Amino acid sequence: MTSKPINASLALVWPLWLALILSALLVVSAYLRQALSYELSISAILLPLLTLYARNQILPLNRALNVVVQVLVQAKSGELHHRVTQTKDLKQASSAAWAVNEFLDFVETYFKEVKLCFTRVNNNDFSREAKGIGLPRDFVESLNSINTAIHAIEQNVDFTQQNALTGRMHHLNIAHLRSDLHNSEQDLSAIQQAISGVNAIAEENSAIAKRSSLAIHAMSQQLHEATQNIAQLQQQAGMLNDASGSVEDAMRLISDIADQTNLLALNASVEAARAGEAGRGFAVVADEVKNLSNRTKGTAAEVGQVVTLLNKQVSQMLAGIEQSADLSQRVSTQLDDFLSLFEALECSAGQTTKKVADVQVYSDSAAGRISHVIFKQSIYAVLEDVIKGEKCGASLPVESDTAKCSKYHDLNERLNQLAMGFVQQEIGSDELLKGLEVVEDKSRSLMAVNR
Amino acid sequence: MLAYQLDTSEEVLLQPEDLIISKTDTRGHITYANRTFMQIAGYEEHELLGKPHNLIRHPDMPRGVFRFLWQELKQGHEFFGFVKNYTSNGQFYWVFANITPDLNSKGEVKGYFSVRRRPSREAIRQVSEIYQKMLEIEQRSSGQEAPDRSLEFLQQLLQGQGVSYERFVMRLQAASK
Ligand SMILES: Cc1cc2nc3c(=O)[nH]c(=O)nc-3n(C[C@H](O)[C@H](O)[C@H](O)COP(=O)(O)O)c2cc1C
Repeated sequence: MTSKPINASLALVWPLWLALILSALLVVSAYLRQALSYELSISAILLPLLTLYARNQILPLNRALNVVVQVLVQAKSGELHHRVTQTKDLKQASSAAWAVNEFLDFVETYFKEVKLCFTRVNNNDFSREAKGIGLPRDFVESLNSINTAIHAIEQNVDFTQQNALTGRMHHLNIAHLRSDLHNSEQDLSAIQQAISGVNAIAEENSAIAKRSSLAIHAMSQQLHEATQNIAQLQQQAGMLNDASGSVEDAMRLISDIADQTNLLALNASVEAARAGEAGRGFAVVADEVKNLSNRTKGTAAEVGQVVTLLNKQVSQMLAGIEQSADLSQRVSTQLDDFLSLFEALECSAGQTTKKVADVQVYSDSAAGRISHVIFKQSIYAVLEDVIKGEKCGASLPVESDTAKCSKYHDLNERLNQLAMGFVQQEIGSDELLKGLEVVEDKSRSLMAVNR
Repeated sequence: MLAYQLDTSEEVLLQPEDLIISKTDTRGHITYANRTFMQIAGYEEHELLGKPHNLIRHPDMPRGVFRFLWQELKQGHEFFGFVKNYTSNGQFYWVFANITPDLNSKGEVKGYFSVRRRPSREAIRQVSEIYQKMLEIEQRSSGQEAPDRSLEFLQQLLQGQGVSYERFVMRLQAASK
């Protein structure tokens, strides 16, 4: 359909040329043979016929073909949007015109699709698919592979963006990691200080508790002794009380005996009086006995009075002692309670101290570890800069105090040495990497141990 | 050559290989139509050339869609859309249209180029419903504002679905061929 009409219309031009050449030959030969009349009549018929044919058929065809050719020439120069229109006027050439038009429709559509897709791709828009439907197969296949290519570009862009992103993230992360770690290190050392403070307080508390408990213990002991003394006193007072009772009894006995003696002496003096003179001496004795017994009785009564008084005082004393024994007993129990309280306090203070000490060990170890990691990161950062050629006279990081006092100090020193060697180009990257691997191995095993 | 068929429902169906192509000047007056166009729409070339493109406009098409079409073209963008058209004898046909600006070597817009392809049936089903609603909105609004109102509705509808207009029509067209 596309090429045949063109050939057919071009073929129409041949009779024109043939006829023209033929008639020209006829005229020339007639002229040469001077026999014009016969041939002249033929050509006289032929020529107008040919002119008519040319006017009606060939000239419009020629014009039409000129238009078609013009469109094709423009297309060839890149202007695909021209078309042949008013095709009715082109008569037989119209099929040629349509062949050209439809061919250009395909080509223009194809190129538009391609151009529109890629204009968008340039702006990172991958949503515009090239649409092949309706186009000839080769065009469709071409557009399909363009779609595949666009998809690949999209993935690639995604991938690149991701990579750039992870790269930036990595960079950010490293920078942040280092400052984070630095902050952690500072936090940890603050914690360490706080813990030492707490530890001191706990120790102080423990000591105070111990001292207090000792003092109370002593006090309690003294009180105990006092209580015992009082008990003894009480006993003695009791004994005194008992004794004074028996004194009273004895006095009463003496008083009774004195009364009886007095009675006896009275009887004796009565008998002596009855005996007269003979009884005179006896009467004197009886008098003396009577006096004696009277005095005895008087003394006994006096003693009895004194003892009663004494007894009263002892009873009072006894009551007082009982009260104070009671009191000291109560105080003593209270002190015992107090004491066990202090003992508990002392115990818990001891435990606190121990725990705080544990925490301190952990935080020391964590601080050491973190300062080691920071140091490592800083070394790596410097190395990275040196490798990228961003810093030539890069200065190496300095170990923090925490790092210096940690078990990682030797490793840190070794790292420093390696980095220095590399920066000053004393060692190559292979040696550096090997050295770093060894350090990392040791670092890992050191960190695995918790303190 | 073109095996389109006439339906009892008076719809002319496009075949997968049918490409309806036309060109217009900057005002939308037809400067070229291919033979598929003429055969399906039922016009002779001389009946089309120089005529405004709304010659084949179908009354079921909301004005809001054409408002959007021209907005996009004026911004130098291409336009995709489902369009229902009239044939010369009162039948209709649905197309999936793509209209792009024609630029000369200086980058100036010299006219527009439109390729129409066979639309997916599922797309026609969904789009008809939306167009119906847009038409109702236009009938309720006063003349000048009508296309803006119905276009607003369309844009809000798509915003609700979180999808751009172009994505929406592309997806519809890809749904089932
Ligand atoms: C290249 C091109 C192709 C168009 N194709 C159609 C079409 O197929 N059907 C249609 O109704 N409008 C088409 N239009 C839109 C019309 O120009 C017109 O805006 C539309 O029919 C609405 O008519 P109105 O402006 O008179 O309301 C096309 C516009 C351009 C620039």
